[in-house]
Amino acid sequence: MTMDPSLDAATLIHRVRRFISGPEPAEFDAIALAIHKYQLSRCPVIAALSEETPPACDALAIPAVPVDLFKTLPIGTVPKDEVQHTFLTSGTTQGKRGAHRFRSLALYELNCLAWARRHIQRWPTRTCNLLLDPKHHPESSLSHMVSLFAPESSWHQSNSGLRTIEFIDALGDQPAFIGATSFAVAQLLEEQPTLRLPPGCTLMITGGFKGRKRAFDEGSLVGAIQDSLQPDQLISEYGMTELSSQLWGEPGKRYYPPPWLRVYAVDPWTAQPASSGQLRFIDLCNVESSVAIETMDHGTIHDDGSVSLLGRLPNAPVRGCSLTAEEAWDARTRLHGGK
Amino acid sequence: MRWKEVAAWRDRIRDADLSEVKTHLSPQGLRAIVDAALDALGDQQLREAAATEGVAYPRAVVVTAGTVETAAIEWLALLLGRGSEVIWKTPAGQPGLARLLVDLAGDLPLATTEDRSSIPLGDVVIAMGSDAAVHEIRSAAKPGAVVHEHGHAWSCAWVTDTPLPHDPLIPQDFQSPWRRLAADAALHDGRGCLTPVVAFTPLPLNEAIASLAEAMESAQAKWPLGMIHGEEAQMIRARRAMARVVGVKKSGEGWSVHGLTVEHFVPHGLPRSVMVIHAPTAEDAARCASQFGSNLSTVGTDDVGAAHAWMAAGATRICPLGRMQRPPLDRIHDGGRVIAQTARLQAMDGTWSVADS
Repeated sequence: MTMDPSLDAATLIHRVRRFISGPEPAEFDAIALAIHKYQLSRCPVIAALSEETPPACDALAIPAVPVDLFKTLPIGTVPKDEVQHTFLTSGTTQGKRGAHRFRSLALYELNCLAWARRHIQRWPTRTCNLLLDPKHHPESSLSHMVSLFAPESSWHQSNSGLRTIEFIDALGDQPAFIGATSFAVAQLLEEQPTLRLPPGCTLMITGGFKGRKRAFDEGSLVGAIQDSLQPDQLISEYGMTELSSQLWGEPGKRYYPPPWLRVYAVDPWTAQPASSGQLRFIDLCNVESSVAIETMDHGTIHDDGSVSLLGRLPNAPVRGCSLTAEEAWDARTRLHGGK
Repeated sequence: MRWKEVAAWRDRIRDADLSEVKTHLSPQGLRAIVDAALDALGDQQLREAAATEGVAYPRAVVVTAGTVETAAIEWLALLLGRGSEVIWKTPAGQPGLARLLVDLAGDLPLATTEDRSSIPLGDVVIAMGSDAAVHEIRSAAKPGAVVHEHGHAWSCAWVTDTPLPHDPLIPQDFQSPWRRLAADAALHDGRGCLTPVVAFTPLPLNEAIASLAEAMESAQAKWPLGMIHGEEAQMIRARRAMARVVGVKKSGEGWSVHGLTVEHFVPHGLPRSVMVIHAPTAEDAARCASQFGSNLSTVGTDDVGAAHAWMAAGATRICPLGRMQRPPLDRIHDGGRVIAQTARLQAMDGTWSVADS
């Protein structure tokens, strides 16, 4: 692999920081291509994935790394001994966890806060969360993001489950920002059907019900939240461990990416761009991992760049008797303890 | 006992026009799996089934998934032959072959439904699908019903490229080991628990990939791929990306072959996509397979000497390549004897004479 001396992480991060503070849409492609070039020269996996494609001439032409590969291959440009922080995908549905490695979280934190501030109406002075404690779970990117929102935080989920009574005690009667997964909120509503949040609370929900035994559609959940918990603001976040940037929106409506994150859809069969289909992200803040990511999620892209999430594809195959990758890894993990 | 009627039903199915049947398979693919399923119901096989002991359950319910269209046929034949009344529950919106097979059943007491409420009607329930699905089916069965669960599993091949004796059930031009494997991967478009997810081989990876690629191309020409779901297409692309990085990939219209290393192996089947993994010995390959627990179903091979290694790895059935998706009627499936599961075994205790004395 040849190194381009004009490309280094610090220069690229500086360009992205400048973009975040004053986005110039015309600059997006140039920065994305520069980051891709940097990653091509330093990440053998990205280089191998790009071998059969012509050099990218715009951001959409950058080969997108399927998120699945984060579970099995070293994606990124940070040498092992320079990794300062690693976020891992959740282990709820697969034995193998995807890893997103950082040399520094400074750009990650800058971009998280910049876009969250645009969507959270009442910036919190404290958070009270149905999430894993980032002190004990530094691998959780979601918890880390929420921990940036206020100096005072409490966390009421552990690997063994939610601690709803403790959450209610900690919440008290003062305003707070509450970060939670959809599943955690559903469980809270089930366990505490009469609970009403104190005035001035913002409730952020994120994530679906993938891998969970119980189904709970988003519409029903939102209705139950509005009826019962009655937060001042109900807001939803879409993020992925493999991304550095997040999308924000209102539950059941569109998600809005920041200017430094572009979302597009491709036809799942042909991988050609489409208005609706499998989602791909070009995240300028992924300077040291992969600037282009291909997810397994589906959505529709609107003219303003916002996204409606569709979940799984229609006509998804019936599972049948064949083993899925998740089940295979679960079986292996049970036998070998995840080694 | 209605074995004669079952034989006549089999013949009507073989002669039937399948063009109106809507499945996710191509017309040639559908014809091939129906013929393969009926091959297992030869006159001799039905006679042997008729001779096995057991008392018919009054009413049986067979619950199938949509991935393997012909999965029910052998069960229906055995249950009907023994004299049971049979209800075939298909997945909602995916009747597949069910309506045609019921229409062709004549006076045989076979009905089809998509309604879950049929499950408690069975004195015996044959449940097929994912582990979660069969668990739900068991919960829905009536108290005291016998439920035979066939949950998720996977199958693989061990290929040494050793010629096998001619097999009359396999097309003449698909008799070589790699082509037999491609035929196994083509039936049902590579879905279901008997499909080869991976071929382990002691041959050099590039050589094996080239041979299998040629065979997959030939299989595609003979049995064109049907419909691929978007989610499957995504997963194939992701695996192709993986193979590009860590191994070898070859693909054509409707098929792909991914050469991977042992550490990147996950036994997850994708339509017409076969992983190839180099393993110096059958024992090495079996060790790799056994790390994924007890879900190993069928191993197709051209190396009969390797059978003991695969048995030790927990495989429930070892067969020649080309027969993975063509199981015989009297066989072990998921650890149980298929024929035995279609009848209640009853006997008078043989110690009466001793007791009298």
